Amino acid sequence: MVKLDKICREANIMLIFARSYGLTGFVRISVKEHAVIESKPDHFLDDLRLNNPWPELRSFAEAIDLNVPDPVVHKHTPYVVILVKMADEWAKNHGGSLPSTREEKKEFKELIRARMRALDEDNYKEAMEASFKVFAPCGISSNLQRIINDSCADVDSNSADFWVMVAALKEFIEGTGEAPLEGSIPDMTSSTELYVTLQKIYQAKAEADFLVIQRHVRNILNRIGRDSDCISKTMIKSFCKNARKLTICRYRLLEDEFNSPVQPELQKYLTDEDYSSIAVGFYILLRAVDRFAANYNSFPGQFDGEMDEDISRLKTTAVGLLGDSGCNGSTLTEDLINEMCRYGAAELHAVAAFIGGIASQEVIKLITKQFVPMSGTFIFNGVDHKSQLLSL
Amino acid sequence: MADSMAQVSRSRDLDKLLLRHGHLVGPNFEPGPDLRDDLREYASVLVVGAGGLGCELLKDLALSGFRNLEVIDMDRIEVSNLNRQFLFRLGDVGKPKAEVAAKRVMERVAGVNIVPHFCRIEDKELDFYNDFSIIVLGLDSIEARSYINTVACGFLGPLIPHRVRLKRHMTTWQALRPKYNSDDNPREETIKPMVDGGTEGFKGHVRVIVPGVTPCFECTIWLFPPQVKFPLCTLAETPRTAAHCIEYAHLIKWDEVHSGKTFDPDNPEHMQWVYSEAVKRAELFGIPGVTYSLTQGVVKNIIPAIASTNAIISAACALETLKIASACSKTLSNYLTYNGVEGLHTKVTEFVKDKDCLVCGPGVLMEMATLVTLREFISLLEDHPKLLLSRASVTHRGKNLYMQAPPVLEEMTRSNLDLPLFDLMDKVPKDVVHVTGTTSKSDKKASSLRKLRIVFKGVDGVTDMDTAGGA
Repeated sequence: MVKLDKICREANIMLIFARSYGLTGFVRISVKEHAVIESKPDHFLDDLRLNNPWPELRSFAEAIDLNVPDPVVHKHTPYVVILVKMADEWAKNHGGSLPSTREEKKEFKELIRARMRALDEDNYKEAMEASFKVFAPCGISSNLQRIINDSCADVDSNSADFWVMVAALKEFIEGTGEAPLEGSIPDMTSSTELYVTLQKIYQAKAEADFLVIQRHVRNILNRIGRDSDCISKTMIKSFCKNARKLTICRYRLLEDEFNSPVQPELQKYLTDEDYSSIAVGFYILLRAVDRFAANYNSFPGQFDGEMDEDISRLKTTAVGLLGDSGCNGSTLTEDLINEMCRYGAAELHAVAAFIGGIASQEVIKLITKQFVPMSGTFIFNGVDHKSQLLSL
Repeated sequence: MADSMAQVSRSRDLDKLLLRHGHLVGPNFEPGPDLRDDLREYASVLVVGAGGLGCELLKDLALSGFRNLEVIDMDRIEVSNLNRQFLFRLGDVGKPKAEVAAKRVMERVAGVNIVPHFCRIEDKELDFYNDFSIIVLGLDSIEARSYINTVACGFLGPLIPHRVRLKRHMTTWQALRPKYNSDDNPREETIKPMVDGGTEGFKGHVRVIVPGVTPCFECTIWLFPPQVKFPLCTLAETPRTAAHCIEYAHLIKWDEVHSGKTFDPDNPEHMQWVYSEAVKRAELFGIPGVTYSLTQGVVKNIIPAIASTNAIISAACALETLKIASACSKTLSNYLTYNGVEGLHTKVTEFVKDKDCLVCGPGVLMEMATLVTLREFISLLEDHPKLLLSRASVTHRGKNLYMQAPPVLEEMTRSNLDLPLFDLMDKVPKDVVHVTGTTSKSDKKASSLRKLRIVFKGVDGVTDMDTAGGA
């Protein structure tokens, strides 16, 4: 494993280990770096800029009267407009600041409620539910901050396209304090006309932001001596749309993990009573059985009749391995060592299918560069399904 | 000869778990060759659904020591299934899924017998379901899960004759004796365990349902959020998204144009019509994004299916089935979720039973006079606030008191309608009856099965609620 890992790492080939052993097994990805543009998270706050509207959005909102007498128009004013106007109003009355304390937030919601004329005004209900979007901090997330501060963002002619675009993004953020606008808006109660106009305003801003980024990308490519058109427009567009969701996955070399596991994590797992003590136990034992096999030419419990001897040998092997990992004095439970010997390297179809399924799932994510692959080592616990990812 | 060699090597790995003692095992685990043989001979597993999960399940169970499998599915193979339902080939398109799946697995795994049932799950007699040791569900519909759950939970209780299979080793849940605060303690062998799997994109779940012991599907029905439906006024007046335009064509325009003709989502001409209407509507309102595949997705409420998620979830289901049948390890308690969207997350949650559950609970109590006729009883069910059940058929101790369908049975049982229920139930002071009928929830009709505890007023022997009717 360690040798193959090194070879693949040098050749920059993605490697995925998968193993099925009794009622346990593991999956581990090994690749130097995997950058994801389309991470497609399930829950992500949409990018509406309610508390920081750009001029076009502001003037669109200003042109709409929340006190319009026509009840049909009143109940079809989209919540984006309601919130932009009310946030603005609040800021004017509070020296430029937005609601921040719990009381202020409550008060803000009540102000929205007070504007409701009838109980069936879904747009005002949506405005109250979405009011938290007004309170969201401006600027970029710590995750994105970390990415633009990454040393790889100092690009040269060998840099990957992804990092060239990150460098462009960095320049953009330094100029504006915000990531490029995503441009899509969620569905909301509204007249068709207002909704479509609003959509166009968001799309126009996203397009403008994209053009700025594209210009940065071209300039950077020129600077590092590459063809300024070598990153396609579609690629840059997708990058802009997903700028707030960029994700970088990095994996340690197996050898490094084996020789110097992350001690605080390892200690945490070993002492955790409920969940991970079994998972980390299997982690140690899955390595111990290989060391066992190297020493005794068979896996523990592989043959009937040598069980008792194998159990004590496996225990010694596991204790030795824990010692090598810097965990002198730690032991694994007798039950777990026993269990591992019971397996005798058996490969159960259902376990193999599970592990194979997980590995293929990760391969799909790695190859398509969509969604986020798992980090660390996945340890399968087929006893009670309390499987775990270990970050070592 | 080659076959028997394959048998030996196939069971060699499984034998380690079935023949050896262990510390992390289920209660009453009795390892040994008998266990392995019983699993082969006596354990019978029903797989409900022969689609994405069903194909995997049949293969997994056949390779996990089970020999007696049956599979039920009402669908025929479509071209769009072939990317993940790996037992099917292009030449199989149009054939029943259950039959092809059974055939393919039997061809591949010697010694396994799989009986296919190409029909609706509702078409089978209740007794059909009673014959299995374990029922495994690979479904994509809440209604179908609900139905099977009700059937399996309906077997609870001491009253239904039951052929016990795999007597010796079906012990995992038997040790966890269910405790009811009611008069009918379920006899252990009437407990019909279910393993349920489900997937949606990169996510999935596995759950083990031991009726009367762990929460049943109905106890935790809230786990399935209601489907998003658009208000009709939005569709008619203020459409904003492509989906609104599609639903307008599907729900409003179709009926306007084709009065009386039902829309068939499997008819490509119907789908094409909806698509082109949706395009027109979208152009009218300046809304982008209507495509044929989106139209299909919205109308059929298609959930994207990924082969590897199906593999993961089915494998976990098969493993749990093996553990329930053999006690060779602990069982999942009781709900596993898998999410591979952002990294990989698995979580086990132990849900609790709803003691008032209409399905796995002791049943809805109905007190009535001895003079009430079966006809009057059936109309009572319609108005009962906990039931609201129309067109009910009634069975008592496996005997049909009245059946709405098929016509032959209806005719045979019609004469019972004017007899007192008390007489039809052999004048016992209290007993359980099962009723099936139609319930309508928010305009959607569903067939449902309910358990009722009938107590007749003014009859001797009803005073002690807790001892009568027990084992």
